[in-house]
Amino acid sequence: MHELALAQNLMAVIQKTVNDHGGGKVSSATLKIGALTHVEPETLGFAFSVVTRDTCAEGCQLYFERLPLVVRCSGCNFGGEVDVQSMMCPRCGAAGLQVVSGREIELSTIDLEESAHA
Amino acid sequence: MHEVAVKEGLLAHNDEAAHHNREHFIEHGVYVINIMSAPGAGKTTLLERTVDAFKRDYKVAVIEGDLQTNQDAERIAKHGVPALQINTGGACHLDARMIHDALDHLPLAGLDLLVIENVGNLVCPAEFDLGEHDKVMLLSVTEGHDKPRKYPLMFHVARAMVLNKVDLLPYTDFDVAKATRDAKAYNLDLDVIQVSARTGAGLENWLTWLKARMARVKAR
Repeated sequence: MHELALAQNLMAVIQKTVNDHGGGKVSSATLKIGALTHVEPETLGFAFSVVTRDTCAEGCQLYFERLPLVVRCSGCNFGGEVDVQSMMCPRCGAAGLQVVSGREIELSTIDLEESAHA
Repeated sequence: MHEVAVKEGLLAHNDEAAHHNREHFIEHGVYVINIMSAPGAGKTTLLERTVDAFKRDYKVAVIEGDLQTNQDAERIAKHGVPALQINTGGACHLDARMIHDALDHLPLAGLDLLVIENVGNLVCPAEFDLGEHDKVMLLSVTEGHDKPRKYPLMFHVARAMVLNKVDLLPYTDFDVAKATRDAKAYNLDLDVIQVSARTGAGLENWLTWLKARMARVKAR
C-alpha cells in the first residue's frame, strides 16, 4: 500500500504548484502511470481523497492516463511497445529488453480555479 | 479555470534523497545492498549467515525495516554487528528519507558493507530507490515459480535473484528453469544464485557474489 505515500507526494506537488500560481482550488488532476509500475488507481484515489481533506485539492477528481511499456531490443534493434506479461521482443523473440519508458508515476496537469482575490 | 502543466514525478523527492544517500555511500566507500522479498522468504536468516561469514574480515552493519517490533535487529545484533531497526509504522516499504535519517545513528566511516533489509513485500519496495548500489531480490521456492510474472518490477530492478530454500525443491513443484527464464525476461543482467540459508547449501556462491560486487565499489 504505497499509494498513501504517493498520495501525500501528489498533494505536496499540487500544493507547491498552486502556491506558485498565487493560490486557488484544484478541481481535477491528470496522472500518467506507466505499465511497469505497481499503482492501483482506485487505492490511490481513495488515499488522495483522505489526504486532500481541508486543502486546496479537496474534492479534486483524479484522471489516469496509462502509458505503455516501451522497449528496445539490443539483438535486432526493435523499438516499440510490448505487453508487460510477455516481455519478449515481438520481432526476434529475445528476452532482456531495455526499458525505454513505462515506469512513469507523474502528475501531468491540474485544473486550477484561481481564488477571486488572487 | 485553466489547465496547468506540472509534469513532475511523484517519486522525485525520494529520488533526490536517494541520490544524496548514494553520494554519502560513495564518499565512505561502503558497498550497500537493499534486500527485498515477500514476508517469510528468509531475508533475516540469510543475513545472519552472511554476517557470520563476513564479520571477521569486513566491517558490516545492518538496517532492518519492519512495520513493527525490533525482533530482526535484535537477531542480527546477537551476531555482533551494529543493527539499526527502522519501524515504518505501517508503511509497506522503506524510502530514501528513512535511510537518510537512520544514517544519523549509524556511522558509515570504516564500514565495508551495509545491508538494508526492506519490509517484506514484493510490490512497494521495488518503486523506492534508497541510494543502494544493488537491489537483491530473495525468492523462496515455497512461494512458487510464478512470482516473476506477477511482480515484474521487482525482478526488473534487482541485480541478483537469490533463490532460497532450495533444500525444499524435492517437496515442491517449483520449476527453477522457468523462474529463471521469466525473471531474466525482465532483466537480462540478473544473476541467479541458489541457496539454502537454513542448511548452508550454495551459500559460498552468494558470498562470492557479494565480495565481487563489493570489490567493484572499493576499486572505484
